[in-house]
Amino acid sequence: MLKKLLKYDFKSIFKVLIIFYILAIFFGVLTRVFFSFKNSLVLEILGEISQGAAISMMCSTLINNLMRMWVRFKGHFYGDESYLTHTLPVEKRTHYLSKILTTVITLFVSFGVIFLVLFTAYYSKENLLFFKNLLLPLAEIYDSSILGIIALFMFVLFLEFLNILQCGFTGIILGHRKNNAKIGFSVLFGGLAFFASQIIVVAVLFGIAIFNKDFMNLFVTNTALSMETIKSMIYISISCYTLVSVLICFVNIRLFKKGVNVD
Amino acid sequence: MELLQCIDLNKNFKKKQILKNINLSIPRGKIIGLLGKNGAGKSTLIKLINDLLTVTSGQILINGKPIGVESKKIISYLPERAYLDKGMTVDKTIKYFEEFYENFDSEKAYKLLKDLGLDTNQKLNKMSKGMQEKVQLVLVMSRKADLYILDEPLGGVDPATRDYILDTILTNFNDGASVIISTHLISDIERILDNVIFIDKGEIILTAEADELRNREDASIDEIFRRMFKC
Amino acid sequence: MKFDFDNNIPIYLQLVTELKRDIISGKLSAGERLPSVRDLALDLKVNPNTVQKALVELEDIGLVFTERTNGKFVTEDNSLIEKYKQEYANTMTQKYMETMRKIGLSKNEILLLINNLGGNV
Repeated sequence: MLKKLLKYDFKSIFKVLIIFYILAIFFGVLTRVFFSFKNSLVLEILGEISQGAAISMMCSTLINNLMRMWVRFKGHFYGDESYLTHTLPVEKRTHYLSKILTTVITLFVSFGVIFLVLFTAYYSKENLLFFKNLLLPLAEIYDSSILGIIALFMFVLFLEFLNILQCGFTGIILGHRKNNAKIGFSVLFGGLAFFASQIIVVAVLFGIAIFNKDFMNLFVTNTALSMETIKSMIYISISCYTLVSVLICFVNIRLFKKGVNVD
Repeated sequence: MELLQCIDLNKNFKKKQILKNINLSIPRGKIIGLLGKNGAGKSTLIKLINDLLTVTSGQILINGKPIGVESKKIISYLPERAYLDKGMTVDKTIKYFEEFYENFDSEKAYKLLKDLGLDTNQKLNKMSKGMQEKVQLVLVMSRKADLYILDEPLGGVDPATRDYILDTILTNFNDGASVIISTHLISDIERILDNVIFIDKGEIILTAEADELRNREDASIDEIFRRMFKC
Repeated sequence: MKFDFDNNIPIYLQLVTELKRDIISGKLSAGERLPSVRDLALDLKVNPNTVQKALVELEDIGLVFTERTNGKFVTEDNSLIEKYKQEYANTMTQKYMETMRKIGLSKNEILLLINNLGGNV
C-alpha cells in the first residue's frame, strides 16, 4: 500500500516541481551564457538578471517542495478528498509515511537540481579552486575532507527542511482539532513545534554542559572554545537533531492515529 | 455476529450533543433506510462509521471488531459530496480504486458507466455535477462490499437515473451484504427497504420492519414520517 | 410483470395478491416454474427479502411449493386453484356490490348494468 500511495503523492508533487526544475536549469544555462561574454555591459546585466532568476527559481523549488506538501497533507486528510483518503483500507501510519517519504525523495531531487544549476552557472577551474580554498581551512580544523564538510552541511540542511516539514504537519494535525480558525492555529502550533524542537537540542547541550565544564563555557562565558569542544558540540547537536526528527515523526503518527474530525 | 453495531454511541461537536445514546444493530442481507430530517444526525452517524469523525463515547463494531483497515475493506461508502480528485479522468480513477480495493470490479464499473452514457476518458472537472455524482455512485456500487452506505444517493438525480440507481442496488444485493440508505426522499425508495430507522435530533426514535410498520400504521413510510415530523 | 405498488400497504401483501391473481388467472399455469426470487425482485423492483416473504405466504396457503434443487413451482392442485379463484371472485363481487349499493343502485339495476356492459369486458 505504501508504494501505491507514494506513487500518487510523488506524481502529484513532481508535476509541479518539474516546472521549477526546468526553469531553474534554464536560467542557470542563461547565466552561464551571458556571463561568458566578458566585454558587453548589456550581456553582463542580462547575466545578472538570469542569475537572479535562477536563484529565485532555486528558492521557489525548495519553498514549493515544502508548502505543496503541507497543502496536500491538509487537503488529503482534512479536505473534501479526505472522504476518499480515510475510507481507503490503509493505516494512518502508512498515509503519514507516504507524505514524509515523498518529501524526502523530492528534497533529494531538488537538492540535486540546485547543485546542477549551480554547476551549470558557475563551474570553472578558477571558481572550483576558489571554493576549495575557502573550505580547506575549515576541513583541516575539523579533520575531514572538503567533501566531508559539504556532505555534513547538506545533511544538516536536509535535516532542517525535514524538521520544518514535520513541524508543519504537527501544526496541521493539532490545528484541525480546533473548531475555528484552523489554518491560524495550524500555523501557530507548527511554529511552536518548531521552536520546541530547537529548544530541545539546546536543552540537551545544556544538560551535557552541567556535567562537562568545557561545554558550560558555551553558555556561561565569552571565551573561545577549543576545536575539540566545538567539534563534539556539532556532532552532538546533529545527532540530537536527528533524533528529534525521528521523535517528531513518532509523535505526529501518534497524534494522527487518534483520528480526525472532517467537516 | 452482526455486521454493524453501535453501542451507546455519543458524539459531541462544538459543545453540542449531535448524537445521543445511539444503539443499533445491522444484520446481513438487508436494505435499511436511515430516515430523518436534515440535521437529525444521519450524516454524522455515517461519518463516524467511516472513520471521518471520532467517537465521543461508545463503540462502533463491524463484524465484532472496531473500525480499522479490515472494516474499511468491506465498507463501500458514497458520501453526499464530491470527493474524488477532479484532475483525474474517469479511467484513472477506476485504476486508482482497482489498486487500493481488492474487491473492486472494474468490468462492472465500465459496464455501469456505459449504461449511464458516461465518457471514461473525460476529466472529472469537465463533467457536470450530475455526471460526477453518477461516477461516484458507479465506483461505490462496483465494489463487492459487505456493507454499502449511501448518503442521499438520489439527491440531485433525474427520475430515470433514480430508477437505474434503485435497479443497481437491487442487482447488487446478495445475502451476505447489506445496504444502508440515508435519505429524506422516502417515497422514492421505500418499496425496496427491509427495515427503517427513524432518527431525530440525534436520537433513534424508531426501528422497525418496513412492512410491519405499514401494517401497524395503515400508511406508507413516507406518510408515517410526515406524521411524526410535522412542523 | 409490472404494476404500481401502493406504499400505504405492506409490499409483500400486495405481492401475494398479485401472484395469486396470476396463478388463478392461469397467467402462471399449474405446475409452472416460478422465476427466481432475484429475478422477480429485479423485475418488480422490490426487495428480494419481500419477494421471499410473499412466496413463503403463498407456500403456506398451498399455492406454491418448493423443490429443493429446482426452485419454486405453482401447485398442480387444480381444485385448490379453482377454490382460490372462487374466493377471489366472491370477494371482488361483494366489493363491487357494496360500491354500487352505496350510490343507490338496486340489485336489478346492477344486473341490468352488467348485462349491458358485460359484453365489452
